Amino acid sequence: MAGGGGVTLNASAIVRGDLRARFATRKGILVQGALGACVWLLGLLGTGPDRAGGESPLWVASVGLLVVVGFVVTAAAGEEISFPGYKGVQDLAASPFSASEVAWGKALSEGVFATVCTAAAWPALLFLHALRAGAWQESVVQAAVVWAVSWGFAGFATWLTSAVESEVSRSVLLWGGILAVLAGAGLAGPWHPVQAVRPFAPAWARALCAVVFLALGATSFWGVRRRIPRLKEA
Amino acid sequence: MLFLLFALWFSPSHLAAAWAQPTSVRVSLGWDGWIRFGTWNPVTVDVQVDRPVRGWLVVEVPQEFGTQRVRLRHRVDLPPAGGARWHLAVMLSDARRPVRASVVLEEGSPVASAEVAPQPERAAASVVAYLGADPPTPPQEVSSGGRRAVVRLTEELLPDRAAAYASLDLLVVGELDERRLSEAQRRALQTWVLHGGRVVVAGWLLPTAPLSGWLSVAQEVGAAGEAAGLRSVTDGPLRLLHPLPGSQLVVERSRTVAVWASRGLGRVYAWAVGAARVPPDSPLWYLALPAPLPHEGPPEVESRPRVPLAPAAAGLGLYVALWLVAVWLAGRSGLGWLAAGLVLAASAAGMPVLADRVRQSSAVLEAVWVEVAVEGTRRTYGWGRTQAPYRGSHTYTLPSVEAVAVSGGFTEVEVAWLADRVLVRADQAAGERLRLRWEALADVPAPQAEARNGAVVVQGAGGAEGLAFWGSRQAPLERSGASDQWVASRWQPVEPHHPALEAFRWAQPGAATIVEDRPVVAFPPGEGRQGWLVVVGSR
Repeated sequence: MAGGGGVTLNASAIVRGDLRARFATRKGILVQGALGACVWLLGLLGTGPDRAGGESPLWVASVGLLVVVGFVVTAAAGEEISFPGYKGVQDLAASPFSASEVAWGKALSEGVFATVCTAAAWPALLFLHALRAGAWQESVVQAAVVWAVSWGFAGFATWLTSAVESEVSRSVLLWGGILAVLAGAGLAGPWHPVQAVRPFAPAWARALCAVVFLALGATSFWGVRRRIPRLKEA
Repeated sequence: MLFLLFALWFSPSHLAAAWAQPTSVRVSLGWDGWIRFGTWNPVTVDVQVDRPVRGWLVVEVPQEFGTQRVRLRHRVDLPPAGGARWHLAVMLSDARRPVRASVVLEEGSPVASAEVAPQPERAAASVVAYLGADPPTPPQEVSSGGRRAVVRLTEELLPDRAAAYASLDLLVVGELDERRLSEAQRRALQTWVLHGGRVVVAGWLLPTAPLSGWLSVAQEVGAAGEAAGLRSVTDGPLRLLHPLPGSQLVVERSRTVAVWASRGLGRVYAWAVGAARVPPDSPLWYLALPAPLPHEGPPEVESRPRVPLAPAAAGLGLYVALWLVAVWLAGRSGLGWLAAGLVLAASAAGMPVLADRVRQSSAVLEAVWVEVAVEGTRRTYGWGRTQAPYRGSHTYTLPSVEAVAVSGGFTEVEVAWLADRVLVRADQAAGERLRLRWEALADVPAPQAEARNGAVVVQGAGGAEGLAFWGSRQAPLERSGASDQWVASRWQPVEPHHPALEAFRWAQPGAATIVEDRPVVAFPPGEGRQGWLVVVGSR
């Protein structure tokens, strides 16, 4: 991805446009409201008493928050939730923006959206950790895992919007792929998102999980950049 | 310059500091080192300070092979060159690890400390203490197994909390100088006797002194001649005892060897000889020593911790609402992101506070109380159970109590005696069960019950519904014609497992015998409390 002052400026224009569509519209607020309601419910679910053997509703709440935030960010990136005025990769390919500007813009806008959604969920994690006399740093690390996984999935979803024409095929591929990843929690080991987001998961597992999903996101946005010239030609 | 140094050295403040006792802590365990594990034992702590000290006396008691620590904290406020003595009642269970007493300042820095290790070879199954010069010679073996310790005390070492007497079977009084007793010590001894303690008076007491007069069951009117060939006492002179009203004689071969009388649920004996002249196989010991009875508390009830959802729902709901407003503002203006940041910062500060509130609301102690009133003295026995919903520390509040014991699952417990309550803070893992046991002297007037013409008359009950038990009968309390007077006369067969009788048994293991002997009136607990007030009446 070629950089430069122009790229940054134009990429930020894409970010601003995406954020306007996702926050300044009625649907955007509705989505945030639904996310807030899920955070509230999961927060309440996590207040349940822990079991003597170490089983804790905090684990369920953490995974729930990962799924909810991951779903909203991925669905928004994959245009499964259509925000009025939102410009997808296909639309931007037809605009004067360069491939790099589009790829950077999308990467940044998904990053910012994932940050906002993760930030919405973080106080619930902080509350549940404080309830169990845990350190606030633990909730921050969990939130970092949630952010990385959401951004990675968002990158994959963005790449699918550029690579797959059919909306149905795209939906099947997106949710099928995510479901396959999430279902492999038992096979993949401690670095799997469902394991890494668990409270008090090993630091190396969390780091590895974050690196894997950051790599997935970076590769996907690199794929978007590679895909745009073909879209422009088409 | 040299003159200045001399002047400084001999300045009054410097001299006072130099002559003052250095700060020191002394701690002694049990009855002169003898301990009964699994019950309350006296722990005496003496503190001397050379400077003003405002802070805490912390007595650290190890439990469960050192894996648990119980810290008992009492306020210390001493002037320069001041000193104080604390008589505590402590439940001891670890025979190998030392008990540590320290004085710490308000901010937590230590001033002085001392520790004393219990000696496993000084664990006794029964303890007989005596005041005076003549050591008594009770049977060395306890009928239920284990050995009996005989311990010499001085008046100053008598506990000032009735709970500490729980490990004492019998107090033999040869001499008693009441001027050396505090009011709290006198009251504790009387409370112990009223609630089942036993005292033998084997010497001469000054009947005009308040405690001695209360302990007098017989008048010594001279010599009764020589005892010879008696089983109760060895050969030698006998004192002639004249029983006071309500007292009963113990006679062997036409010789009065002892006189005894009830004092509440306890008994006081007067022996016609000194304690050293009652041999170990004397029947007087079997009369005076209490029969060992197993102590049981309320049964364990399987329960799960309940977490109050309302504060969590309100707090999280408020956050979500504020976040939505901030995000809505952010969609309209860039300044909205500042609002979102502020909401996030406020929630970072507020969530721990909310969590603390939910934690405290979820740490609920299920308490059972049994208050036993004997001759107007009301003593509270309490048991509390709780299960930690989360790991971390949980705080429970008890009213002012004189002794607290903690068992169950925890790593560390702090029991702090404040002016009007006792705070118990326990560090626990999630799901661990904590058990508390406490005893207290209640400073509220107790109803009085007495038997009259086959009925039981109760005064001062204040209109509560009650039930009288006597022998194998029970009867409901009914209002009589007189004001604040209640009568139980419609007798029915007793329910042997009535909850009130069960509760009385938790406080007094000999409850069945007491109910056979005298009327007992039980009042159900007040609003929101589990337990009973049991008034032991007079015949």
